[in-house]
Amino acid sequence: MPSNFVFKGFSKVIVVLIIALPILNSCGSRSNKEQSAESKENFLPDTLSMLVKFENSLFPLPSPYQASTLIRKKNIQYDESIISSLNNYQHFSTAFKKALNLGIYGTDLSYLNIYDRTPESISYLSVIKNLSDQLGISASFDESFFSSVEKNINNKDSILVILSKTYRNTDSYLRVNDRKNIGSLILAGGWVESLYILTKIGRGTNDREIINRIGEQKHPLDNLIEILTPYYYKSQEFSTLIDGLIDLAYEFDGVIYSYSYKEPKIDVDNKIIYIHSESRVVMSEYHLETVSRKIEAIRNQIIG
Amino acid sequence: MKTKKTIIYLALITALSFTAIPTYSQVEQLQNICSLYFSPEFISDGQEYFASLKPDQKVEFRTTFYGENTYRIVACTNLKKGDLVFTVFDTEKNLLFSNASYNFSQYWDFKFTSTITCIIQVDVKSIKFTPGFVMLLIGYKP
Repeated sequence: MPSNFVFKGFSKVIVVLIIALPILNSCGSRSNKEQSAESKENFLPDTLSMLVKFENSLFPLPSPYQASTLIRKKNIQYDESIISSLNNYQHFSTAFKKALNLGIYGTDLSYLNIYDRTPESISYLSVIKNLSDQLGISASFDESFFSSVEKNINNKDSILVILSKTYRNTDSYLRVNDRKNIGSLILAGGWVESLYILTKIGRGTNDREIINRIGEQKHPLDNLIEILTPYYYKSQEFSTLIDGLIDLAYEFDGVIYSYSYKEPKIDVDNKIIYIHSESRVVMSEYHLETVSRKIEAIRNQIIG
Repeated sequence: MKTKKTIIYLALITALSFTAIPTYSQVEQLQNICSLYFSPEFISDGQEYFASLKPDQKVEFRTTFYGENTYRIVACTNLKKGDLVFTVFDTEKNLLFSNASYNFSQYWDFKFTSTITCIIQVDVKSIKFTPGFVMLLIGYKP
């Protein structure tokens, strides 16, 4: 067979492959999605409407460590039973669970940090390092991280800065290396734990500011669902987590939220703008109780 | 013959591997630019948002800022030509801030009285479209 003929044949195959692969791929994935959807539609029809993506939109979450900043302001007593125990971490066998619990332990560390719990903080740091090693993201937790923490162990804000920067580096590393699913789980774990801690404290103290902060999680929760939904069909674990969060989001629909725009004031010299628009959240006892129960159930699934 | 096959193979790999994910060096470049404006008194929200620029399309970020908190928003790009514009709206599309009115400053601080969900739009004003990336960093003051 003449070599030119072979070459032409080969290039035709290549061209056909270039055109056909994405089509076949999309058909295959749609077919898989349809199969998965069929198996789920008997009990979860409403969740599918949530799987809509905005074009070129991103959904940042507020830092879960801001919950600790609010708690610190309130002078609330330390409660060691609130945070997730380190005893379970060796049983986390999947990357899914490891990533979620990496997020959870990060938020717990920020909680320990406000109470100067140095020995416990070191134990949590060690587990965070261990989980990040297992997930192949230990580059973010290198030697400089531990020496920085050691130097600043008594400076609460510095620890938060170092921790946040490290989680930011991890997030960036995972995005660049096309492992956004792991990054999204770390975010999810951090958010779940911060809401869990707030609900525990909110119900225990009845502090209005804490309860309002819980009510204000409606939009961050919507964002979290947006971040996770691309992975809905990646595994049963993902779909169970997302379904739990969507179910929780329905409870937040009962939180009354009002907003009124006011003209902002700008200080050009200091490059600061004062946003005076006002929002108000009204969260009933019933919704606080329901949200607390549901977030606890989601958390128990993660740490169990 | 072998060379032609190799060229086609490389072209195929290049075509299939072309995505909107920046390389690590591009991200490092963006991090270095953005970090210049992200002073240490601000605590990062733990995320780095980068997105590819597409012709005539803005990148949009939707996030919640808590009341009685001060935040810093830093926006930067790896494009050498063109001004990066970031504009902040509330969810009713009331304009809260645009850096276009302030010499395209790469950062600005925001002090919120109440908790508000905002939409941050990022765009590059340039005569002709050039592919590139934008990065946004958000931090709060504890």
